[in-house]
Amino acid sequence: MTAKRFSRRAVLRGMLQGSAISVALPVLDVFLNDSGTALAAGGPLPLRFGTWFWGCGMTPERWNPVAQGPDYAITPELEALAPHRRQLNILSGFNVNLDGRPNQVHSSGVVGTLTGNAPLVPDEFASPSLDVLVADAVGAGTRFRSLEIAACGDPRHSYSRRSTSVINVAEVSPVAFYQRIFGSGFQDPNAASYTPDPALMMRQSVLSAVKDDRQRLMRAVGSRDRARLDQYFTAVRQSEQQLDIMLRKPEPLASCAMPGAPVEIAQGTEIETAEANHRALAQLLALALACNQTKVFNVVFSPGASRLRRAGSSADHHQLTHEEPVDTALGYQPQSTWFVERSMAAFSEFLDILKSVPEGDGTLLDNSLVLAHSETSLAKTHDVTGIPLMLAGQAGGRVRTGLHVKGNGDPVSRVGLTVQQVMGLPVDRWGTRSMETQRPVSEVLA
Amino acid sequence: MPEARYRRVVLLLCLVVWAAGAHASGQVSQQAQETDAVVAMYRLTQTQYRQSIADIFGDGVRIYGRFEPDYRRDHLLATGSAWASVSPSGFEQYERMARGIAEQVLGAEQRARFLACEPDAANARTDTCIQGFLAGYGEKLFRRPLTADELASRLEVVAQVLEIGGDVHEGIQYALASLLASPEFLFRIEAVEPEPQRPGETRLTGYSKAARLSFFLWNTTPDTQLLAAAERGELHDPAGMRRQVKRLLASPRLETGMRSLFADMLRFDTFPEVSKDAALYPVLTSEVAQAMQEQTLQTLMQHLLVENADYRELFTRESMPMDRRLGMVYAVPVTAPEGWDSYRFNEASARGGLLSQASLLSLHAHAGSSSPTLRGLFVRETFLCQTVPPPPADVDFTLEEGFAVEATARERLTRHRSEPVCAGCHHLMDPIGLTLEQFDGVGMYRTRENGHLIDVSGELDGRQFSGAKGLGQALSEHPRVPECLVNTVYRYAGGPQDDTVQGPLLQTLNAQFADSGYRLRDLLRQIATSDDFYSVSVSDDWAI
Repeated sequence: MTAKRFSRRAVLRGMLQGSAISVALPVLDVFLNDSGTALAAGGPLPLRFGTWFWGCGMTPERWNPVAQGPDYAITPELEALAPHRRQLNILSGFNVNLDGRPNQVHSSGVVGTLTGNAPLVPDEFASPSLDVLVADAVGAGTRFRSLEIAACGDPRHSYSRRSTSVINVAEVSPVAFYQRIFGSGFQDPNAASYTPDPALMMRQSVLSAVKDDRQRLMRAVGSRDRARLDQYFTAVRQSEQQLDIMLRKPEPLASCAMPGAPVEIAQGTEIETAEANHRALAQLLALALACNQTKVFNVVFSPGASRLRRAGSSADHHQLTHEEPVDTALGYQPQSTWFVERSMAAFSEFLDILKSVPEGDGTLLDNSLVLAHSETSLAKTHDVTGIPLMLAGQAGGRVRTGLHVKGNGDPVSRVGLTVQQVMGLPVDRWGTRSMETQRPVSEVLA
Repeated sequence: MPEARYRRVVLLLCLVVWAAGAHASGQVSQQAQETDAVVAMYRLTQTQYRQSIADIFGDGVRIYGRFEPDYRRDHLLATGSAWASVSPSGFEQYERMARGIAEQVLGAEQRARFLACEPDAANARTDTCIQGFLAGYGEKLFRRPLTADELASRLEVVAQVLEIGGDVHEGIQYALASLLASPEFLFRIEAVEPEPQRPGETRLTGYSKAARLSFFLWNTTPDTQLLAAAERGELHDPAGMRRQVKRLLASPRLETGMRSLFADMLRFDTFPEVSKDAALYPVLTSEVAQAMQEQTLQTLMQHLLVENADYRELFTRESMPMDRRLGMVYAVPVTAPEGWDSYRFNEASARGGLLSQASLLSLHAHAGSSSPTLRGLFVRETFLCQTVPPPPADVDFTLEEGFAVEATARERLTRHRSEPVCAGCHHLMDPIGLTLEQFDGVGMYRTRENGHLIDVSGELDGRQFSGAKGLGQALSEHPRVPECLVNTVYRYAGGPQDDTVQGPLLQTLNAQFADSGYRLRDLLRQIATSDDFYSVSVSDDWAI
């Protein structure tokens, strides 16, 4: 037990035993010293990073714009995003380089984009996903290191991973997601009074005892298990930080508003069901961001090899991409393209929701950077060249938007490097083998 | 201050040993467990966590929270648990579940059931009542006695909670929560100690053997008798081990364990992902999906445990349990108004054998259609322990003849046979799955697809046959089928993976399984009583 913890306890115990439960701010300075990263009043608004994933890619000739720069003509599969084009960059022609490794279908593309490394086996994350790298750098000051949501009902639909087997699983139920954020433990930053909950300190001593078990175990394990234990204790430390944050009076946030409790809705892969869940989860996520509960988020609208389907149809999106013939008159797969268009409409709706939260002179989206991506370009052949990518939001003025940028076959890791640099990570090189790069996508840097 | 620390430990030991008289089994380890090297860590699966809590605190304790999804590797969750760790959001949930359980155990309503003595708030760090409670439940949760340090840090939690302003029961409650959130509970940790007979060699500790055995046969934490046998060193003695194995095999809890084994092998954890089109398959409600799984597990338990029948005959078994919900899927009369009844499919029926059950047929199909390929792949992987390579990434799957134009799956899959790049692998899968085509995407019987008669001829490794019954017969006579079960059960049980042990041991087990007439109970006993099963190969990557 450190001296600091003891004195904090003593102070709080004093408060709790006194009559005044409503505590004035100056008394609480002692709590702010703990990690020293609290927002100064009137300081800059928080900067957020998130990913938005949809499965089964697109149809290159119907998705990729032709002209580069700001004046490209909107394409059929991007039509739903036209209202957001000034807040959005379209990135085409960036490749996942396999370097002789097998194309692990519906996996190499997403792992390659998020780690800059092509996996040897499906879903192998040899290094943490991009969002975890960003969260490690910027996520410590918020209650949740990151938040994950998935629209098709399966919590395993998450590409936020510290390693192959450590998965930040997704929230799939709006009711459970609401409870986790706005249920017990939520402190309204705009509340007139602040009541420190003594149970939070009791929970701190629980974690302290758990950490005591660490020494013996770490001495006794082999290297593989040591890595697993490290992951476990990293999680324990993050829980401790969460408690520290909850023991501080939060800074007032004008845009933070408690939502009403949602009602339970059906879950599944039928597209309208997925859209309804995506909407409800995204609305809660936007408010969680506005209330500074997290700075990092991951959304999976549909996973790789998407099983989204239309009611009454015998084949799902994934099956259609492989089995539906190209319509000779149209020149593309009409049913498959329908799912791409609906996926882009869902992303458009996600951006609408971020824009609906006013923040400072603009909206939540202006203070965010969202990387939208899929695991393939043309799913029919599991193509990992020309992966479809979008960067939405100006990241608090750090990013230029409204452009179509062609990658011309450059490694997709350039985009991951760009994201890290925008988010302030001191990284000048990222990716492995032929995807190692030092060149961010400078066109989008403001 | 090593000396002061030592005195404190000794003092604690004395107090606790004295307290143990008052409380059932609680005691603190007196051996040098601090130096036992860890050789494996298995994250408890959701089922193991739930069953452990129910065994330790009773069925009445509810678990609030969401589990990290179990992780499958080499086709088994049991294998994946040796690789899984805990993510931040996962720990958030484990901590929440820990608090929820502890709150129920120490809450005013139920407390008396667990805490028989009156804790003394004034002497929280030395009170024998508190120590007895934490040492007793600590041993159950950690599957071995707590070390002095582990107990001391829990007593510290009690003291801190009192200091913050909580009462003594809250103090014990948070201390219990810290046991429940500890890696020593959330992971089943296997440790080795020096082998006294053979200097320089190591063996699994008795407690590690107890846990391996208990999770293998019952899929839950060791009971007090097994922990006591471990404490007395009986599990290092072949006769002592045989006694415990016999006891565990005779217990009704064997069924709980075997249900977990087969649910893992058959991937029933993926059932919630099954999303069928409601318009095409109105019969498949979540209740019916539940009944389908229950039917299969009951069939397995009846055949393998109750009747102690030949494993191979599962593939030709004619009777299966049936309830009213499933009567609609199978289109058979069910007389029992509720509950389960046995139904025998007659000679003329197309149905027969495990593979004609709706659970497996639904699980290995698409949302709106059957899938001969997925069904064939499942048979290869699960019952023959064979792997089929994934399709080449750039293959063009488009069906030349036009999507959904051909009437039956056999015609739609023509290209799988005609193009060499496909045929190389699909000849291993499609001819198996096509024999099950008389069962649609949820396992309902049909003779026609899109108005055309379905041809159910097929082939398995050179043997020609027709329909589900032909497939069942072929599998029941296939030499790899029993070998694959031996291999799967062995891997599920956590047997040593290095070739020098595994190879000869599997050979012996296969021979014994054949000699026993392919009885599962004999296989379980032979694995559980084999010395080699508990052997450890200490890899060079650990250091004490």
